[in-house]
Amino acid sequence: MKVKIGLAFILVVFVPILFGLVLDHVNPTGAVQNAWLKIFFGLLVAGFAAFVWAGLLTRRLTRLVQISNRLAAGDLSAEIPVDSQDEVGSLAKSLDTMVTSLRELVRQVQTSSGMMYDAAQNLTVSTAQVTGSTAEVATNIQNIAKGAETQAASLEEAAGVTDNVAASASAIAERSRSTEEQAVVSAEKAREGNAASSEAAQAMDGILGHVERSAGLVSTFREQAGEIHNLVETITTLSHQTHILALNATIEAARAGDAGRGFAVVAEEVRRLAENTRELAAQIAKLAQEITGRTQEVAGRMEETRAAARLGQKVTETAARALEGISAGAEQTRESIRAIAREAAVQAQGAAALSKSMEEIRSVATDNAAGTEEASAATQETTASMEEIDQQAKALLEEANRLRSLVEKFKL
Amino acid sequence: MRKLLVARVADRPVGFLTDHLAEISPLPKLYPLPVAYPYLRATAFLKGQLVTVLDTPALVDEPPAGEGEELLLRLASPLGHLALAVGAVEDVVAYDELALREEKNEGIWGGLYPWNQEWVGVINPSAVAAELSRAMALSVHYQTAGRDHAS
Repeated sequence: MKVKIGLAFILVVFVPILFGLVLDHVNPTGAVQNAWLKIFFGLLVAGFAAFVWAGLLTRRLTRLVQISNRLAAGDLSAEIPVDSQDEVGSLAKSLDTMVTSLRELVRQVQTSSGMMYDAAQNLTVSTAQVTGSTAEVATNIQNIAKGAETQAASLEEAAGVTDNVAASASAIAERSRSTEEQAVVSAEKAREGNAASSEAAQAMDGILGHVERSAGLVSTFREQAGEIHNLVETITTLSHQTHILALNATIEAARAGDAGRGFAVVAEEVRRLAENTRELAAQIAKLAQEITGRTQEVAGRMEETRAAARLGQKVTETAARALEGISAGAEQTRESIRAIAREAAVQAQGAAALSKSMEEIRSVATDNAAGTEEASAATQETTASMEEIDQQAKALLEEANRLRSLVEKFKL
Repeated sequence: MRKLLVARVADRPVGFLTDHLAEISPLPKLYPLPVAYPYLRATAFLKGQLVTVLDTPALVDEPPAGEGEELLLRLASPLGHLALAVGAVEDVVAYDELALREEKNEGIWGGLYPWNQEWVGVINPSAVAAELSRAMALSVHYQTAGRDHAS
């Protein structure tokens, strides 16, 4: 610029001066007229020179303006000629440098916008997928949360059941101990009963022996009663015959008349005696019959007693065997109850430990449920964030698309 | 000394004077007669002698005694071939002829005699024989008339 200003100064100052000198050299007398002429011509020449120079300058600037307009229209393909070293050339060079840089920048922006578009598109797709997956995860987490709650509730119920089992096992153990004591008492009672049963069996043997002897005596007594009955029948028959004989004697005495009066008295006495004998015999027969009946009854009772005694003996033997079995069974029962008590104690301990573990598991399950709830909430928040990201990605995609559209306007 | 023997015929006490009896014996085996005439029950052997056993309940208008009869009273001569089956001899009492009420001496009865605060009919053997004869005569008459009519 300084050079241009220097050249313009020279052109404005020295060209007229040079033109005056030339005129002075041609016409040395006319100094003052020549001076104005010189100035005029010098200004004319300077003006022409300035006009030419300005035209050149304008044309170059116009070209630069046209190129700038093309650049402004986005046409970065224009070639900027740098044909001088002056300010316009520097301007063109700077402009060229700018265009080059701008072209590179646009190219990079195009590349980046494309990548950004692709990335935004991928991000949109990925965001949609992630949103879907997050929703699915949220659903699953909600299901897990429900399952965790159900699990916690079930574990609580199981803990209650386990507590009940533990309480039952403790109660069983306690009952088993008391039952064992009762079994010991029962075994002792069974042994005592067995001893008593043995004594009863011996007593029943004695009773049976007595009954057998009594039955024999009763049988003998019945036979003797039968003999008495036979004797009474004989006496009755004899008294009957005596009675008939007395009646016949009475008849014979009556037939004898007065001679038979004494005989009639004797016959009457004999008849009365026979009558009394018959009555006594009848009474004895009745008594003997009653005795026989009672004896038969006693014999029947004795038979029943003997049968009852035999039955009692068998029952006693059976009871003794049963009591032996009961004693053995009570001993086995005691052992079994003792084993049950041990097992119940172990079961109670195990149930208590199980209850404790169930409580811990329930606590963990409750924590899991709470954590799952929190995770579900976080997932819901993530879903909301992902939806926002999705919206942002879509916006970014739109922006990238718009940027790519804008950048594509540039012609490289 | 006369005596009255009170024996049971069916359910009724009946008196027999000892003068009218030959002997008393237990009831022997009876042989029923094939042709039954009125009052004739059976025959029996009594001490080797065949006697005719009368149907005593029928004679005294009582229902049959059945197995209650245990004694056989053989009548005295001249009716020694007749015997009466009776039950047990209830009593033998002294006979006072003045105590006999003869107001009822119709049929086979000789009268009524007091015994144990009741009146006992006393059998009259002659009347029994007469009644037996009469009944047999009537029976023979009826049988003969029947045969004549049949022929």
